[in-house]
Amino acid sequence: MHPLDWTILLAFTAWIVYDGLKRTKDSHEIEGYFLAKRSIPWWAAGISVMATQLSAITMIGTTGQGYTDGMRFIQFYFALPIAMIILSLTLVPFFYQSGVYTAYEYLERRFDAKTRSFTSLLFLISRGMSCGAVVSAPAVVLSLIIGIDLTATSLLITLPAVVYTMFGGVQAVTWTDVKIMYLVVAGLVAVVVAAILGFPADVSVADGFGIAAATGRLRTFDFSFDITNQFTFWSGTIAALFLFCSYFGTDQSQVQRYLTARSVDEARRSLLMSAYWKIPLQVLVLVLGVLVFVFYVFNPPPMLFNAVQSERMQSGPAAASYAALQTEFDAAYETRRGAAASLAAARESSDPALLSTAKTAMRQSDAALTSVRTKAATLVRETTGDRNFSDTNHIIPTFILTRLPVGLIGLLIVAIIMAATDTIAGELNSLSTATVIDFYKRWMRPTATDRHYLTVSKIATGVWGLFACLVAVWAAQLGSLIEVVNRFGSFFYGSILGVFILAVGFRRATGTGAFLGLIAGMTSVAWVATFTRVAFLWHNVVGAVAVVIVGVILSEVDRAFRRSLSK
Amino acid sequence: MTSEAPPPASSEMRRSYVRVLIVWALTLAALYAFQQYFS
Repeated sequence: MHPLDWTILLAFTAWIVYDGLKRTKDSHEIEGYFLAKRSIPWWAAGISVMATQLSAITMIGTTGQGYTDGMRFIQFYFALPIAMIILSLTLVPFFYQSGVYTAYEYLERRFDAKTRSFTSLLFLISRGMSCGAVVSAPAVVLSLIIGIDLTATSLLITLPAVVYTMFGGVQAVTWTDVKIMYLVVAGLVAVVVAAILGFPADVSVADGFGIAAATGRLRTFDFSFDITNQFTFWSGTIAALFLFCSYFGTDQSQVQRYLTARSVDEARRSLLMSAYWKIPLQVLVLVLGVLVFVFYVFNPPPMLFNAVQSERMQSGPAAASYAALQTEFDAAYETRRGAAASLAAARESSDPALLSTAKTAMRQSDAALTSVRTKAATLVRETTGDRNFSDTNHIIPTFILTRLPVGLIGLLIVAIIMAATDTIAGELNSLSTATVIDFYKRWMRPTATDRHYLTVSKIATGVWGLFACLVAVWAAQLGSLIEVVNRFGSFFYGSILGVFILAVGFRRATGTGAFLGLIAGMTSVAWVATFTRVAFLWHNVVGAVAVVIVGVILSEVDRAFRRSLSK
Repeated sequence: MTSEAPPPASSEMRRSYVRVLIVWALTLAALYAFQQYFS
């Protein structure tokens, strides 16, 4: 990167840390540190909710998915607004009025200590490991493109978050989230504009979308009912509803954001902000990928966007095979560019037959080019032994580094890094809260001063930050372990939702019934995940339904058993 | 502690929910129209 880009990157990072550290008002009390004394305006809490989800993986992975796969991923978010309304009507007022610090604390008031501790432990395990994944995915890409090693890149992402979260608590997290969100959205819009400006003069934006549509990249709705397919209209509206209710309603990293709001209605409004803006924001992310695809239809793309791997292949043992693929790729690119130009011209004519022929040629030429890219990626996997090699995460960073002007590059790289940083900050804050409130205060030191809890909270934030760094740095070695843990996480999202449904919806549900229901729900999901091909979104439905059914039945058994004992 | 009914949403909040539903429906309709227009 150019020195100016480095200057922008380091200056912005320093400013974010400085600004976060200034936000320590009321952070000398435990309620101020964890809940900002419930003083955050709804719009800031709402932006913080969205910023926590919009990680660097969205910036590089989802945009890359838009490039390779198009818009169909948007279906995943269709149920989100409905989930927000459901949560606003149900869990939000329960949490807010009971004055809890964590969602799991509510479960002890409703059920018992074991249900609270178990759900909180599940949160700590999954969120702690996901912290590592949130850092490692962008760190691996950024370390290659900006040329510094993986440890330094991981620290560049994690350290700022640890520093301002440790000292500023949730206020620092929320207000830096707001600034970073503005930066990220501005960065996304800048890439969209840059991609459009790179179209040939005689190709309009509408022509660009027409070209993308011919390759299937604008297919947004898939109405087929196939529970093995992750992205259909039905999985996005039914199964994802359970996931979003669980994520926004029972995951401490989200719950803590809206518990900082000034009133229960402001907490509700902060969630409704996501209801309005999440789908348009994801459309922007995916459209960005689609437009960069169109840019590379008219401007030669590399066969593989991972430049480091590409260079290694050109001088490695499979260099001859790779060179042959490159020749094939160059020819396929020229064919596709010609087909795209013909399609743009056909759109100007009013001849449906000509347009149909041009669309078919475009689709076939794109399939041919994609086939060569797939062969190249397969060759990399075979040559290097890296079975997980994927080029998708390198597409947008490569576009930024090679096609944008100096200065803007620095701004966009810092946007990617900060997207990871603010996600980490939110997660560290919630991990620290659950550790201190649900375990330290509950089981070890129930009566201590605020000052003591505050010190322990800061230590917990630092320890979780260190843990995230270690997991990120060793992610390559821990790859399969992280996958296992993430899969484990998907086992209990729906199940935890089931416990909360029992808590607020079934007055006769007991702690033992809920606890055993949770175990049964997780077991059911593990069985479905292991022995069927049902897509993971539907696991949330299986888990929630199993917990509610088993929980209700066992609660009645529990009541009958206790009645018989008391006689 | 047993589950207690949450306080009813204010009329202003109820209007907010209706607005969310309307915007949601319009957003999905716009996305569908976008897909169909270019296909």
